[in-house]
Amino acid sequence: MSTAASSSTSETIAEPGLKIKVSTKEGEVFELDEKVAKMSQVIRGILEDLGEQNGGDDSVLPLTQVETRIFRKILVWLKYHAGHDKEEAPKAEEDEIIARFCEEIPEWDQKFLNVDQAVILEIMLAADYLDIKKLRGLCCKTVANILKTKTVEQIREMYGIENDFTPEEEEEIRKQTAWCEDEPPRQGSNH
Amino acid sequence: MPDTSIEDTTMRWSCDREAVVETPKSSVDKGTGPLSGFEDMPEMLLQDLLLHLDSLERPAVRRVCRQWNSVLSRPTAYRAMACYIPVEADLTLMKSSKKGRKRTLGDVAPDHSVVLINGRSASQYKRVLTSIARKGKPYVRSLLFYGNFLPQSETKGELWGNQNCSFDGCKIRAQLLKVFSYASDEYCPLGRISFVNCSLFIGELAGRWKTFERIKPTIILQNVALREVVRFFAFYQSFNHFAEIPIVVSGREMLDVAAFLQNQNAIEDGFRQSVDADYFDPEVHRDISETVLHNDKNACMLFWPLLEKYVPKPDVEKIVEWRTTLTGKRISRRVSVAFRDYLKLFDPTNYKEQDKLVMEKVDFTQVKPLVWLMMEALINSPLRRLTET
Repeated sequence: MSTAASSSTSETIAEPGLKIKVSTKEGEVFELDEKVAKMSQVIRGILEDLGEQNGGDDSVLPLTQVETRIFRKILVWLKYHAGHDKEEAPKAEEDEIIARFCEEIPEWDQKFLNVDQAVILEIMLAADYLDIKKLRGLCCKTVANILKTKTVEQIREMYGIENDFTPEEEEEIRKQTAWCEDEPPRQGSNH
Repeated sequence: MPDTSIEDTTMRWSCDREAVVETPKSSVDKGTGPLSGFEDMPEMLLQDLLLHLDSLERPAVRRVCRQWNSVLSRPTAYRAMACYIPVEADLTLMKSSKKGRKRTLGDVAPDHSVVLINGRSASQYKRVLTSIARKGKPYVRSLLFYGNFLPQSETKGELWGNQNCSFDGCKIRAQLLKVFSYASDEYCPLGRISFVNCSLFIGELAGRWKTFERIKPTIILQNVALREVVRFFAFYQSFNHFAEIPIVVSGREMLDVAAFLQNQNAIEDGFRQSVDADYFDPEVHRDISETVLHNDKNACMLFWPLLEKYVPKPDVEKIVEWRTTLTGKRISRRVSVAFRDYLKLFDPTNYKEQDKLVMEKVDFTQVKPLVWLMMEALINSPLRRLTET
């Protein structure tokens, strides 16, 4: 099966219709279908600022914070969702929040994000940079699901996060959060 | 039609061998060292990520590092818990119901902490409740159910009957009803159950009035949009038997409610009544803050982002004057600044377009006492301790 994202040696990726050119951090240029490109609110905003007529010229939108390998990955996601997502009316803020936190991760996206955690983080950062809310939310949810299964020490180790608390501060927080620790206090009588 | 095969395009992401990984459990497991990414992560992104943890999971990860602790101590992380507003709105809104049935927030949890369950599914609720149960009854304090589990589309008269929604809120609410039934019996025998922004859920519960009557939960409307407030009260008023249910309105929507009630000609002396000292029991307010926010530090944290955001150029004298007028006590400049900034939340220019039409009709001289009340509630909250340091 031939796809744009898998054509690793290609400098540009051809799509029918109006093309938007973007360049990654390394300077590699991708030519995207307008619909796909505009799923990024950042690109959409730039295009609107520039005026639609510039979409067909040779100008290249620089995405200086996105590495090529991550952009390729995101491109797969964008193309899939551009082809499969129904046109949705803009959601009210409340509905968006509900959707963000309540909806399960669709199967396709689960598979898509079934990659190394480092990659998920990079995709998440890139999605944040590109303002692709849905992908950003999916990544957040996925990482959160991973965090749920880890202890504090494991999280620190896994993500290389330094414990910058003083022992006193850590103890203080531990006290404050003792109510949700796993070990139940066996004290007092029940009501 | 774009290619949709993950198998071909994603998992076999041949363009970059570094990134083609079929999900090892973690790179730590493989001895490849810690992952990076968090150190460069914007705080808003980190916050969104951590908000996906429920409230029983968040406290533990506060211990990861200062940044995580800071993010999880922000008001946005505890938005469902910040009910530091007095109960006057309750009394006002219950005006059309029986008088003399006053109930205060102290009923929520005067002596205990609150367990907030920001569940996203019935199974999650059940899991959390089970977890709570394992900790023994002393740990069961109050249960706050948060969120409406809204269907995507709603029409009048069909608020909770629409099955044609991509997110099956109906199904989840139906499951929650089951959870709720045993939660009330097994886990919260004292009836300290609260619903935060659950008007639709409550609507379904109304059909089970006997249960509802028995437990008499507190309804908390917090940080909900005006339309939700209006919808809630339209519904609320249609069920007279809710008259005995305490309702607490907090946050920005207090103004919304004021506007709504003004439009309904329902205010009369409600606001004046609300400054009555009887409704300002400092103990109650302290309890609210301490119980709902779990601890003092979080309560204080409610305001620090505001302090950080706005460089203090406060009208401190005015705030102190208000404070003195109300209670005859002094407050620190630090707290005054917090109040000043908090009052900015009531600036109608901060409202969204859809709210502006209503906001324009608000008589702010009527609303002002509510702001005072809020200040008073805050003063009587753990913030007060800042004045002592």
